[in-house]
Amino acid sequence: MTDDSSQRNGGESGAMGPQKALFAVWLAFLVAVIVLYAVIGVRHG
Amino acid sequence: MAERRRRFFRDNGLSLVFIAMFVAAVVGQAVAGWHDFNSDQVTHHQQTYGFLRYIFSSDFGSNLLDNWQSEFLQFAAFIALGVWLRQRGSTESTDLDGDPSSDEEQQLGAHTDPNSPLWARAGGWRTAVFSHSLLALMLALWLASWAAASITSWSNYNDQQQEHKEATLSYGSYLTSSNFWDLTLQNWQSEFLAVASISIFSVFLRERGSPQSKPVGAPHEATGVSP
Repeated sequence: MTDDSSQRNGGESGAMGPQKALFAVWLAFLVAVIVLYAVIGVRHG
Repeated sequence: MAERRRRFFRDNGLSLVFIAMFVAAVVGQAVAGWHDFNSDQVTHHQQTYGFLRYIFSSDFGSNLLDNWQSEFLQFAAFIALGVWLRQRGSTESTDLDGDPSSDEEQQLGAHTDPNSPLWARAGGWRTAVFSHSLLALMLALWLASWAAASITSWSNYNDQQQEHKEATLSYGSYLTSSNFWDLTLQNWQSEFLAVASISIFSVFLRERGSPQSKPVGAPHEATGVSP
């Protein structure tokens, strides 16, 4: 990947804030659901 | 503001559309599962559940997480095995020749540039960790969701045993039961089937414009070719 294409595709110097937010929210959602049902299963089991 | 919103949707369309499809499917699953669950409860002369109670039940959790764990396993296996195994002509394989894990191919060491991620430029343990971060996350999500699925399935299994006035199982015993492995393997087999299908079908078939396909005019033997 050339410097030009890095800039165009949003490398570290590009504005990746929305993607970082999407990444964090999605990962937090997955972890929260997994933990939630593990707790529900343990309490019910 | 409108321009920023338009750009946000353009830049994240693939993730956002799949998330929207996921939400719609989960809502549909919850409603259908709730009706099916209550129908079963009525048949067995048991108490029916309100929608919220069903959503936060082991029954729904098991239906949800048994599928999740197999998806994370699929990606973890795909990522890990793709490092060593090849499929001639497939978009899902790296090239048969050369070393795709070399510093040059991976843009590491002397081949980093100022736009490379910080931990790729850092060297040492940070670069080592970052080099395997995708597989590490998929493995962690797979193991966590599989563990949660096993706990909710165990809870459901014991509920059914109690309904039928039969002996319940300890968690350890449940993990060796045919019920647990039936639920687990019926999900795994479909994931492996999907990966095997895309690996071999993408050798000879094309979808113009898709990153999952080689360019329409690319030779069948071209391996690891992006559009």
